[in-house]
Amino acid sequence: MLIKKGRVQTFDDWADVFKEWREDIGYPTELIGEYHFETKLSELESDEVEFGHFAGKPKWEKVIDIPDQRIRDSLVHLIEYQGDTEFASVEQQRNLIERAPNQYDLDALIRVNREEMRHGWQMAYLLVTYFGDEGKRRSQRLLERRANEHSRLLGSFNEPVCNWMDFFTYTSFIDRDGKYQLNMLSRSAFAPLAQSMRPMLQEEAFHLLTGSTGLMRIIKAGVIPTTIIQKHFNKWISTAYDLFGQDHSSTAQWSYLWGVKGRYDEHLFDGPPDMDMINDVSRKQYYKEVSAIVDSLNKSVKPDQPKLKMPDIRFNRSIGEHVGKLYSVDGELLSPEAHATHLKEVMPSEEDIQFVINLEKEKDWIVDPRQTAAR
Amino acid sequence: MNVDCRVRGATQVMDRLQARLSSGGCAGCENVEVQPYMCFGGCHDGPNVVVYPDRVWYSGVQVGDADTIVDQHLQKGEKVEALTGKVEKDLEEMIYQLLDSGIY
Repeated sequence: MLIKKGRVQTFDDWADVFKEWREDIGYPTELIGEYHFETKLSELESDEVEFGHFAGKPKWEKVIDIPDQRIRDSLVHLIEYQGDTEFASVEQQRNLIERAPNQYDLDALIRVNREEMRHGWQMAYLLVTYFGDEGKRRSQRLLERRANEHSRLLGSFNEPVCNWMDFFTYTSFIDRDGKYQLNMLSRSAFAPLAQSMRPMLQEEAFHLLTGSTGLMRIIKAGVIPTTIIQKHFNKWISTAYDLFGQDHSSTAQWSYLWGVKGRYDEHLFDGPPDMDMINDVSRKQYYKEVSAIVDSLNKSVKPDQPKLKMPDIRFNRSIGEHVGKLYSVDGELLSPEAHATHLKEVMPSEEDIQFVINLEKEKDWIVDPRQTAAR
Repeated sequence: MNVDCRVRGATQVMDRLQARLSSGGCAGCENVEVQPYMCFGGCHDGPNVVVYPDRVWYSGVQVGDADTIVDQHLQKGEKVEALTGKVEKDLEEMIYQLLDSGIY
């Protein structure tokens, strides 16, 4: 018989484990500087539950206010998943620090990383403070899984971030999914969770802008062929589609009915959602939003280069009704043999990855705003 | 401008700003140009309007605010304080720096 006692009894204990996690992944803490990790809570948008069965009743300030154990379990699950993505992203991006193209981008990377760590800190705070022994156990697990061991909870967060092309694609498109998730939790019936979201969204904005302007700076430089950029888009955008969850999700339905997770911009809707399509509505809006960014980037693509495009929403899916179906990036159904060949053509190869890594040591593959402004 | 801000009313804001400027409804604005921008990242506080080179960032702008921005800021040079300070300073600086650099 094994009796294993969790290390986290208080939030101070958790902070100790967090420090060990940073050492374990080799994060150069000195680069974080004087940054002070802290919990941030904003004012509530509304004191009343805003949707679902409990609409109009006071939001739950404490766990004892939560009317059903299943809702409590659902909240623990949502918070753990959110926290898992935050720490995973730092693990994924850690290897880029020594290969930053310039000080401007190094500063941006460090800022993105420390804010993702703060977001994880925030989720751990909720778990430890409000959800008893179960929450403490889950908070510790946030720091035990590892992206490079493929043990993070969601697919995108186990994918390797191999180079700076990956980084900008990731911050533009995967962090944009994060924006959706945070927004959908920002009107949660559980008040401390809802109050956590606005500061996180404000910080996430910097990450999105780092991504989209980084891609623009790469395209304006015109050194990396758009065929290689496209492969990075295929890799990340297709995994981002999965992050919105199952197409017909009972989990999403219950989360909505219980008031713990709404639609994107819930307050702008009149009337209830189509319960069967909650995730898919958000996924389709995300598709439109990313499409607009790709269209905008295309305006700066050099005339001799192919334009960028969105991978079909059915391509490379790991969950939902398209899982296991062999669609191409253009939405064509392929035979197993043709699909295997196709994947080699449209996803980044080892040569593509190394091509970008080799470029990182050079100048002029990405526009440096500080140098350009100084001219 | 992107989907998120359009849902929050960005198209109407853009239309109103352009209407005011193109109809001569803004004295001294002959050299002012209104351009869409794909995404400033501050979606939660959108629609966002950046006035450059004044380095002023307005958030949560609604169609009624467009006239205030024209009348108060563009014509009189006075910042519309109620629409500022919602996004983080570093985010603002990032956009100003990119605009300064001439990349956009």
